Amino acid sequence: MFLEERDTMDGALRVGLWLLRVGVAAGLLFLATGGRARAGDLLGSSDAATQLLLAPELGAGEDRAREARDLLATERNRKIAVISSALVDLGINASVGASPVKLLQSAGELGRGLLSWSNRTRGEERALLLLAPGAVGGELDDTTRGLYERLEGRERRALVTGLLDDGQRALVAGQVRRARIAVDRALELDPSSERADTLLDAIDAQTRSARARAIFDLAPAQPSLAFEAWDVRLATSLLTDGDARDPQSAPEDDASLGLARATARYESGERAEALDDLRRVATLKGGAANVAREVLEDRSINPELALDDEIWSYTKRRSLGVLGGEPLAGNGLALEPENVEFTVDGYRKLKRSYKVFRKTVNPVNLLVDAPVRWWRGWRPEGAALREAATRYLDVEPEGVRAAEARSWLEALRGDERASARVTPFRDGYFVLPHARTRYARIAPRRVVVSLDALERQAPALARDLALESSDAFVLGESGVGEGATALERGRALELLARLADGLEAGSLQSRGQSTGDVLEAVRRLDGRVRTGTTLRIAPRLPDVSASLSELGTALVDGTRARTVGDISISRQDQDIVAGRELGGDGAFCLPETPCIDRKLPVQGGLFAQTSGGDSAAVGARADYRAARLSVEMSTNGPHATLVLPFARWLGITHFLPVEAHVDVGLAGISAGPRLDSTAADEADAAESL
Amino acid sequence: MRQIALVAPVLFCASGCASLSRIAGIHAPDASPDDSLTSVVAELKVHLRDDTYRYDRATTDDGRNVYAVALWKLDRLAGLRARSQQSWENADYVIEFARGKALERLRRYGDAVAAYQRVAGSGSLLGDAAAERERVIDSFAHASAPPAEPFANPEAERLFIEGRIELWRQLAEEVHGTPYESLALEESESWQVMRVDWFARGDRLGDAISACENLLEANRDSKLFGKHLLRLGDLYADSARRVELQAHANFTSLDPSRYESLVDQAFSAYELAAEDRRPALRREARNRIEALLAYHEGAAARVP
Repeated sequence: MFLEERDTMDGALRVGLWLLRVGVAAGLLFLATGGRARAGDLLGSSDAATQLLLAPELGAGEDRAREARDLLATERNRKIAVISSALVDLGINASVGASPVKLLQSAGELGRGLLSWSNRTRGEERALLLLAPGAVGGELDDTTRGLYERLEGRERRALVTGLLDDGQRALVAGQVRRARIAVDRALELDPSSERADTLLDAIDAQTRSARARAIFDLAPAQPSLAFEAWDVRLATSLLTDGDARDPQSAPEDDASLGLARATARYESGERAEALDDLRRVATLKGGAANVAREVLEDRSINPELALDDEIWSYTKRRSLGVLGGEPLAGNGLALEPENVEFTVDGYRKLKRSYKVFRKTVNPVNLLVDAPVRWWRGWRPEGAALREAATRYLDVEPEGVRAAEARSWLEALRGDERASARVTPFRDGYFVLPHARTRYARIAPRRVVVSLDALERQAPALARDLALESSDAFVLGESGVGEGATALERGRALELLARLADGLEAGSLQSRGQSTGDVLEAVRRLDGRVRTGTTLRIAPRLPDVSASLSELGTALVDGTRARTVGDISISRQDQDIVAGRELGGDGAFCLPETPCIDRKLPVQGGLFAQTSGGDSAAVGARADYRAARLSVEMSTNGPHATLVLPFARWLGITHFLPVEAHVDVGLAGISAGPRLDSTAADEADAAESL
Repeated sequence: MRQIALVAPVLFCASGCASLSRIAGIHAPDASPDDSLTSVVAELKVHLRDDTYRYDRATTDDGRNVYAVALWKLDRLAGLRARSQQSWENADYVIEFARGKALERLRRYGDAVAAYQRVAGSGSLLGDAAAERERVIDSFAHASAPPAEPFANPEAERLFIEGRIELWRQLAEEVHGTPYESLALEESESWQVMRVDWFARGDRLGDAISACENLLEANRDSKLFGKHLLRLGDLYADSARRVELQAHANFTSLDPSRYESLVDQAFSAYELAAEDRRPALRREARNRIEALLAYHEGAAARVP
């Protein structure tokens, strides 16, 4: 069945492309014809120029006529060019499978070009002015005279239409004199205009009516504002909370009476019955029925309407969110037909939603993210639905939908614990929770240092302090963990200085953060120690391997997890990487905490990665003094890369930030210089400082 | 094209067919003018018990305040009848009484009292009801009256504000359970905001933060809760900026822990405000988070 549909779609696509090609060909042919006509015009104009040079005093009228013809030809060619270019644009967009938005833009331009074909232009007006003296003097030949008469007729018709439109507006506004002047002028220009005659009749009728009023001394009609007695009694009852249900002498089917009854019922708490009454009144005619309709549309009066809207919105956002996460839940509804706005903002929203939808359709999202969101029970933000349900229960605690509203409130209770009105309150007191926003900390906190690093930079100190109980240690003024030992000021300063030396000399390396950031953290700790703070050191307890759910979190939420055998799994956008560093990769490090480890002369690792589901690779890589060698087997075949940073070795990266790349793959061997991106980043960092 | 083909059915499934039926259900209201006094009064009446403290004030479908629209209609009716007060009939008293109700919901208590007085002195059917209303709203008008004379010093202003908070709190208790309660709570909340503002104006950011936290504790159900959170975030952010500026000018040495604690509290308040259901407020909160992040980035670079 799918194959059949695909065949039908392919067939339709082929026919569509064929039609577009025919269209493009026709357009190009049209352009070529236009070009020939233009070339002929140029030949004629060169003859005329010769004549003008030989006898400049003769043929001023002919010059003007020629200029007018040129103007008209230019206008015509311009219009043809606009249409042709729109047509070609449409063809190209259709051929390359551009987005529907671009196709619509091109089609719109084509339509505008066609619609404006017969519009009068400034060139036409100028041509008419150029021909007018010749026409008055009788100097034009038959062809030019015919052209002049055609242009003059078009101008007259445009003028008459404008005058009659103006006259009609003036008549509606009661400006009879102005309307008559406009119609008289239109009739002078076109005595046979039927529309002008009709308008003139209307003006005459209005004039006669006004004259008759004047004869019988009738004042202009004033809105008589008197209210029926029952109407006043009803309004009084409503205002005084009286019984407005059965006023005497009110017509039984009157909308006002119905509205008053509904209002009184609403006030007395019979909300559902009142809304039923309002729905009945809304079907009638008149001002009261209008009011009833407006009231029914009012979400504050008709909480059921608000509840329905919010349930609908929440359900749709939940479906979209499971499919594409928060971005799709937040933007997807703009693609609903009823949410489409025909404004610039609406167009932008539509474009954004379309882009989000396109991003949703990728294998990693469809195979990993969406199922996980469904399994985790992903839910959108429900504050609006919570408020609608609460309000419904406030207004109609025993209403038909009360049970449903309560069930929604129950379902949303879990989210409420994290809401702004619940989270910051403890026993009625307002206490702000910790911020979730991540920002660079400036307060010195703690630094993690591996035992290898300590033994390399400060072996004597490590021995004195008996730092052999753990693979790594946490240094800081507080929050370093259990088993902390306070360091004497001199020793603390010496340790920090040795670590800084190691980082600067390249015998130690930072993990997770840049060397500059880690050095800055060490410097701040040093400053605190110098002002009298006590530095403490505690063993860093080793992490256990990540559980299955932690691995899932790493894959879905873009974090990093370590599994058995020191293999780390991480995800960034659509790339998933599993790898193992040879010689360890800082398993002891803490998230968002400066971390220092010993630097091996040669570093290497094994990795497996997939990029957006499009390609996958396994391989190994090694670094030595910034030179890099990597060998990988990917879905595109085997590939090896050698990078030699000669400029860096020579210390001239600041002037020449390039490195030599040698690539060997199925496509052959290639070698050449490439920009050293790390050098560029370093230069940026240096400039910002 | 392949993506469009994949997206289209997904979109259809996700959005459902309800959209089309909803479009079909839309109808344009008739454009005929209101033709009865009852309809004008009813339109106002259905909103007189609205809890304007907890929920946003009702608006017409084009976004206008329903009470302002009702008052405008009533003023037009009165204008068209064009009768002097001496020649008023029952319909005129009804219009005036309804005007009073609209005015009180617009917090124009003095005007509302005047309207009720005109009806109360007429001996019409509405006279007794107007006199009763006048008594309640007169106390509101008294509580919202401006100070008799300019404040001698800032402390006098603070005492005035404290007095108003207490007065409105008492009034809210007096009218508890009536439609006036939401009005009194709104007024009390306004004066509490004034107190926060007074401390902030006087460079007492610590007191302003305490006052703002009291405001949040006292108005947990208010529709303005999100705005108050933004205000609290601003106060914390201002305090953090002040700490950093003073250190930058060598006025004091920077205590990084204190600075970061203030920044953290500011972010936290903005994050809570960003959970409000109103898109405009959420956007405002997110913008402030971005602004504070940018400031902090610069501040962190300036720390020696």
